[in-house]
Amino acid sequence: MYNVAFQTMNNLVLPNNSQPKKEMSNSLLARNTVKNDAPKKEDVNQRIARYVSLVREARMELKNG
Amino acid sequence: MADILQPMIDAPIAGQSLTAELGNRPWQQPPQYTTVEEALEYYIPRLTNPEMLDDLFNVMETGIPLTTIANAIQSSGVMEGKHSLDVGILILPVLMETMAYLAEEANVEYEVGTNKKIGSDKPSDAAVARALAMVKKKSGQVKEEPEEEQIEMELEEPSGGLMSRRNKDGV
Repeated sequence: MYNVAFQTMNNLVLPNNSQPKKEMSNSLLARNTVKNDAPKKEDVNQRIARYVSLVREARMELKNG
Repeated sequence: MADILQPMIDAPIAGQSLTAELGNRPWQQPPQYTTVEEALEYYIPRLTNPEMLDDLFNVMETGIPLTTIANAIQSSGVMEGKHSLDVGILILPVLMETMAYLAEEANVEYEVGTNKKIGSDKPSDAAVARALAMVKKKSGQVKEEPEEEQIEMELEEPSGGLMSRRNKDGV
């Protein structure tokens, strides 16, 4: 029998947790702008990947103490 | 392809789907939970239910991988008409990760089923099948040659019948 769970887990692309870089403006009185390239509305796959990463993070915390 | 096979726990009898009228089965009705979030809200409390957890840990300890368990859970949800098959497949990673978390929390040994054990002495089924095919091929090549010789020998034998056709030598 074909293992769907294996494939879904292997094809899952987990989101990057890197913080967006702060871009400093050249002018002295300008506000520090934070450029966020992430799309506002998430795709269902991205949502699933986010949920999985959240649970995995909690699991790793549990594992590492 | 052979690496991603899973053990078959249960399967329907051929033609079983035709034994009921169309639309009478729960999975032929509109699903109860249409989104991934709704389906997860249905499953996560059930997974964390202490009564369910004991059974789940027992299954995990028998060595059945989480991929198989998660697939069985979502398949039963589809059969009960709780959600569609698409939603079931989408929530599979979350179910697996949640089960892994619960197992870690309770110190239960489990197998995820997404990676093969490195350095295990037992060869994979695919490797065994390939080796057997090679052996068969080799043994088949060796046997084929004497058979051809035998056929030639049989042709050379003169027939002793009165009505038999004469050969080139006129015998």
